[in-house]
Amino acid sequence: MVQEATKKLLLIEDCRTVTAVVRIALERNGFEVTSAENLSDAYVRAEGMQPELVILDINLPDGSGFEFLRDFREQRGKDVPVLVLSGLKQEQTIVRGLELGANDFMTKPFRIRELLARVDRLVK
Amino acid sequence: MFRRYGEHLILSLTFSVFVLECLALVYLTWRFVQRFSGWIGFEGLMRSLIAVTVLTAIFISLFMLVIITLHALIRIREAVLQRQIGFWIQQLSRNLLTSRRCPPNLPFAGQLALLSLRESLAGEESELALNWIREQGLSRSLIRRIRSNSSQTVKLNALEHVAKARLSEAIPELLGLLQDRSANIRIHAAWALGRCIADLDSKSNWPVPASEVSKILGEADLPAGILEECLVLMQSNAEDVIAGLLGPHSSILVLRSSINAAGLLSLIDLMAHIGKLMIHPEPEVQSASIRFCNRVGVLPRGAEKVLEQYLKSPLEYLRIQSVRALAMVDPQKASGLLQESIADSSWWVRRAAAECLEQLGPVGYKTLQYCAHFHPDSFARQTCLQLLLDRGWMKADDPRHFWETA
Repeated sequence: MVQEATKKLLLIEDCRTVTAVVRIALERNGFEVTSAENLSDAYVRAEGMQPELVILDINLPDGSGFEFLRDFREQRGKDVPVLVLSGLKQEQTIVRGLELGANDFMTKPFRIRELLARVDRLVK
Repeated sequence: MFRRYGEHLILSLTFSVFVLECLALVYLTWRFVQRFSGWIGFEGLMRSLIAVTVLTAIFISLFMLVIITLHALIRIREAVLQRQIGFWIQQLSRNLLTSRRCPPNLPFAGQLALLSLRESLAGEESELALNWIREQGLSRSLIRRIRSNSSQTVKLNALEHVAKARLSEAIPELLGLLQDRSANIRIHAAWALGRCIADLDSKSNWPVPASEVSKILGEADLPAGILEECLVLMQSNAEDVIAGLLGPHSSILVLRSSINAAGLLSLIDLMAHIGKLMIHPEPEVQSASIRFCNRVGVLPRGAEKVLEQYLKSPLEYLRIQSVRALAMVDPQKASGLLQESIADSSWWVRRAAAECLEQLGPVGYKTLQYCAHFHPDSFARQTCLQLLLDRGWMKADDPRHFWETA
């Protein structure tokens, strides 16, 4: 992957293993990663930054990532792509995420290369 | 890790306090007997009474102190462990993506971090994490622990770690644990088995043949939901195992769970096996088979007549599944049958019939409109009107709606 100028990315994920892996993988590819581990933290972080991409988990300790997605789309429109990264594999979850405005959906466990490729496509 | 240690200490303490209290009461009783017999004076009795009361207070205070200290120590230990795991997750993630080498002799926290990485990742990095788990001797140690006669807590933790690591070499041991006396161990072994089998990459390298897995799972005393979950966890590798469970000797519980799992995994290739079970003598199996058809969206040949028969069944759940399956029948024929089912005594069947009409396309929509206004049964009219309202095909202020709900 080509190294580009620093791009800001908001990662909303409560699992610290996933956060660590995604952060390291993306930072190596030129992203500046800001992470939030719950919904309330996510709103605060999103308020103070202009991310070029949001990676969002669904099952968060204080609510559903869908709530954030809906509010984020209402406030920011469709300019910022959102990639949902969730352990939920059911069809209705994927469909709901896409209906609420997610640009892509990945399930856990995930492949790092695949994540990087999808992120790369979304920020382009 | 969610199981706490120290149960044995608490158990021994409780037992000791109980025994000491019993001894104190026996002593006190003896002193009262002595007093009533006139062998000791009032002062002697009072001294004994006060001594026993003070001793009781000391025992209980010590007991509470130990319990509180134990809980505090467990919490501190957990917090320290979590911090260490956090450190190792960072360290191992970096190694996984850069040097691709694992530090030798990982401490306990490092091993937990490695298991967590293996659990979260798929593909190349996940395979690398598995290699590290094997290199560290962790896989051997986990298998040894689940095989040993150690306490249930140790075994349950080991089973949880095996599930995270998805160790194919643990499959024979997990199958053995499905016969364990403890239901808790059997359940955790089933979950671990599902995840380990899901990770096998081809049919040729199964450590135990699928038919053997089916046989042992079929004989294991597992709750229906756990068996279903175990099969669903097997994902794309579940087909052969489920096929083996659909035999004529399987119990109703096993058949029902296997059919449900096949439906959830959309294993359409099993239609040849499951289609036949639509006429199984047991209604629960009949219903599960129809639900399978509903989930995969295909009906076997000749199923229409069976469905027609089940629409008249006294069992509500069977009628619901049969009504739903009519969405896959010729719309003209289905709409005729659904006009009858929409007047069913059960709300659930009526609602399923209305939703099925909705799925039939223009024919169904026409029938729904017709039934909403002209069906002789008022409950049928109500159900259709409600669906039309729910879908926005009729406005709430429509005079016909007022007339029906009045």
